Amino acid sequence: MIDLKRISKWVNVGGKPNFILKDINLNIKEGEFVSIMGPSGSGKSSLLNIIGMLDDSSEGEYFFLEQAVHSLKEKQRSQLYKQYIGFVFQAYHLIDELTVYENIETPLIYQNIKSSERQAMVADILDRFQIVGKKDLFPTQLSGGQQQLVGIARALIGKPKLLLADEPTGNLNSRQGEEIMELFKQLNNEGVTIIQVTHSEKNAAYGSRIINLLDGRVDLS
Amino acid sequence: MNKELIPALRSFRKYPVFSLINLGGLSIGIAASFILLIYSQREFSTDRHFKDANRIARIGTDFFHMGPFAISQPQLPLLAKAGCKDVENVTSISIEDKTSVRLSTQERAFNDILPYSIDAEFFTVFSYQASAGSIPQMGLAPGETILSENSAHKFFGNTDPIGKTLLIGKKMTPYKVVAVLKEGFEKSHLEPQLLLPRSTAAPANPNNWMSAALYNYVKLKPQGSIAGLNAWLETLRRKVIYPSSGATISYQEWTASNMAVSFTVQPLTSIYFDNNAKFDTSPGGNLTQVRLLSTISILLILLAIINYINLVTARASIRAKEMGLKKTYGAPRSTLVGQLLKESILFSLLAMLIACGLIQVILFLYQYSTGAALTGPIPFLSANYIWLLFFSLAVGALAGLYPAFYLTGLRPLLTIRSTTTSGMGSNSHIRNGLVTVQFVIATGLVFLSFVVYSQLLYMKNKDKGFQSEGIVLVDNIEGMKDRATTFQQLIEQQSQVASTSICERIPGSKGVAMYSYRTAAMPKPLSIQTFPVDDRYISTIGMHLSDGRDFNRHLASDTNALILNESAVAALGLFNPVGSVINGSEKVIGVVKDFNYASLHEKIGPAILRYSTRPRTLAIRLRGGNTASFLDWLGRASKDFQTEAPTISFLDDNFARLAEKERLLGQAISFFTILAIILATLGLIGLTIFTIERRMKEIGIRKVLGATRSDILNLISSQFIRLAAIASGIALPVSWWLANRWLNNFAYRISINVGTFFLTEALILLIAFAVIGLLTLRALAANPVKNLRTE
Repeated sequence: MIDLKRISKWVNVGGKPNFILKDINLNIKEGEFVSIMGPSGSGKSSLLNIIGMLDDSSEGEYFFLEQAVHSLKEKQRSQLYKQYIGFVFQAYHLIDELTVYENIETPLIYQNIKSSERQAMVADILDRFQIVGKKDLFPTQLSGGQQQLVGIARALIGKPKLLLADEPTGNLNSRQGEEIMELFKQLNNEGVTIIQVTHSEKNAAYGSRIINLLDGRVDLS
Repeated sequence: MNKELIPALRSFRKYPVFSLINLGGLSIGIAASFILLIYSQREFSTDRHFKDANRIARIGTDFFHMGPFAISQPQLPLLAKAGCKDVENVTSISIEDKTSVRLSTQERAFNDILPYSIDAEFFTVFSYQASAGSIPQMGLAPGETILSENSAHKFFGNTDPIGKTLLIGKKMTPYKVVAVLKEGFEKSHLEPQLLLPRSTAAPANPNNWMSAALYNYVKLKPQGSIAGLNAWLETLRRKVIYPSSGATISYQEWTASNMAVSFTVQPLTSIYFDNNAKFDTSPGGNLTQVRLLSTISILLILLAIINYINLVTARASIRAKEMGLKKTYGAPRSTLVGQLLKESILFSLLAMLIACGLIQVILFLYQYSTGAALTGPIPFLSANYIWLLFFSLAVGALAGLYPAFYLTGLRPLLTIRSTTTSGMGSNSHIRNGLVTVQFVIATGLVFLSFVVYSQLLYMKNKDKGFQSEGIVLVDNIEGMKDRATTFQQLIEQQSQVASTSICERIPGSKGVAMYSYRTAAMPKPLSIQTFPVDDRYISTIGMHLSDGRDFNRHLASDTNALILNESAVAALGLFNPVGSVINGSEKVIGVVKDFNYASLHEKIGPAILRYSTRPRTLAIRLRGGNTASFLDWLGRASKDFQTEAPTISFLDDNFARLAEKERLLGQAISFFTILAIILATLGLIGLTIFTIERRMKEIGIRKVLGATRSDILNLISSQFIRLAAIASGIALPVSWWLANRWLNNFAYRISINVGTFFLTEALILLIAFAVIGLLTLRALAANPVKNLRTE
């Protein structure tokens, strides 16, 4: 599903390239649950952003479902991730001005799905996550765990094949974290490919594979 | 430096674009509205600088119900001074023809100088002051003259004119300069260039009340009143003028008849704006324009204040934290309010300094783009600049008040803790309201400008009933007498000339001629505008004969013939006009289509052409070709026929002069509308930058969720576009109503069509979209997703 070949990413600091990712080769198959680990600054989030097509690599090739992402135009790329990828963030990144319902609905609007269909899909997912009662509340009226639940619901609403999560439990207490991880496990069992960035060994253990990053390289030791 | 103000200065450095927009907007607002304030104040106080201005009045006349004249009879002053108990003093000024002034017989003459001939009482009524020499309070002695500062400079440059001799007129009569009039910033309807003494011999014919020549001004006694003067004039009419007219009808009938003579007394202070009297000394002011511009001055400063409030409260999240922290340290609210007020006053004083320079720039730009000065140069170091200071302080206080109370009223805990803008949204309603007000102002002004411009264009292109373009007029050729025909023949030989006509009156000119006409069926005669013309008039100026024929110089009977316009046919109630007889013996031989002879404010009235070969004006229709060289030749050639050079002008210019006030109004409103748009645009730029900054995270999230550029553009602009739509809903009906009121002053006017509304909306939306679009695209160019990483 995902094939990264010699991916590097650098930024110029004072005229010299400063490597964030160096020569990453990675292959992830459909249905995997991968945990990316590593100390702060090791390039975990950058890697996730490149996989999620939110950022470009400076060098290297990236194939997603056999398509050469590195040579796609901005528009086609956004078409691709809109359709196949869902994102979950550590800070939830819900839109404060929108209700729970509207937050979940937003990706569908951008996928040009009809209003009646959107209603059914949002109702479904609210039901599944048992947050029907919260649908008219605003994000600030929810606890962190609930907000993250909404974040995940929003990521899943478009029925993505791949779920990218950047420290999804980082801002949650351990009980809430466990619930989220259980949910991920369940989703993975239903066929969703998941890549998560995490600091926690315990959370990483939920996955089927762990990739360790160190100073922008995959640590094979 | 005051400790409290340091954060303000640092924030200026930290947000330079924001602060510059804010400062720039405030400076433009202060400068422009200050100029307009000074302008309106100056216009409204025209003539009020004269001592006891409210006790001075001008007596004008109305002959035969032709409308008011600024001049009145020469015998009136003596009678008024002797007979009217309300009158303290009377002065009369004679203003006749322009003359030439020479410094010596060898030097070239300064032409077109209009002298005012004054009597001994002039300076007791009008408190003129001298900038050099001294004012002869008892009037000028024979052989003495007084100059205006302007003329003095023109004639003598920088040398002292006092005691020098001027040779005035064709006869080069010597006059000694005894004083120079001080010309201040004040305006007056009297615009003396050169004062000459006038002999005050008793009028030649004191019983003739049918002609007027002098500008008569009375100064009332302190206890006197205009009503008292009017009562005396009424007695004069009944006891003296009515009997002297030799009328056989009763006094009541006489006052209503077209033989009546009446008086119009105008207080000095209202002459300037109430200026429809014929032969007035100055074109006068335009009350509509002054009112409009004073309104605009308020709107401009309102725009600037709103910009300030919006930009300051928009940044509230940054300042609120500072305020919150200070509050938790125990600073009382009053101190904080004081600090913020000081900041905004400091800011407006800074803006004032910039405005001082901008005032000159704006005045220059105005003169450059319209060709007319809005005010004279505002004298430096005058009281006006004290006003500017107070004005700026007031603006600073006013603009700072709301942000100060808003920022200090926030709960401290909330402001310190929150890193997002949640909880800060409460002032967005007020901000939206203020932005709406800005859109209302901009939309309204744009709409009004469009209407004024369309009307101007319409007036320029309206079919006047004849072809005014390409016609050159040679005026004041009475002196040529019999040689006029030779002159005419000489001109017709020129290759550039298509045809010529000798006439006594031309449409759009100053002169008035009204004759009485009466058909057999009419009980009373009618006064009708009359144009004595020759037989080539109609073809030369291009009027359209709709019935009958033109005059023919070879038919002796045509000396008694008339050609009516269609309105005259209707007014005289003629069904078969051609062939009918008027005034017993005058025969109607033709009918022309209605034509405009006055400004488009007035409806075309009845007008009659009658045959005459008396020369006053020669109208020349050009064929094209080299007009400049023809005019050159014409100027030289006409001097050979008449010693006093005739005036040469274009007929089109005469009509343009009639619409001069409208033209100036159009230019003034569009100039300040553009300034208003600049101000509103600055505000919109600032607010959009802020909105984008505040919603950067949201934009990032939406991008991740699949939003395209146009989705984001839509998101940011829809808020402003909604406000613009609401604003149009308010502005368009109001300005439509105002525009219609203005248009109702014209007998010939455009009707406002949907296109004007559409164009206004299009322009406003275009500007809004351009601003918002460019700023949003700029923000999107820096990948907004990056903002999501900062945890």
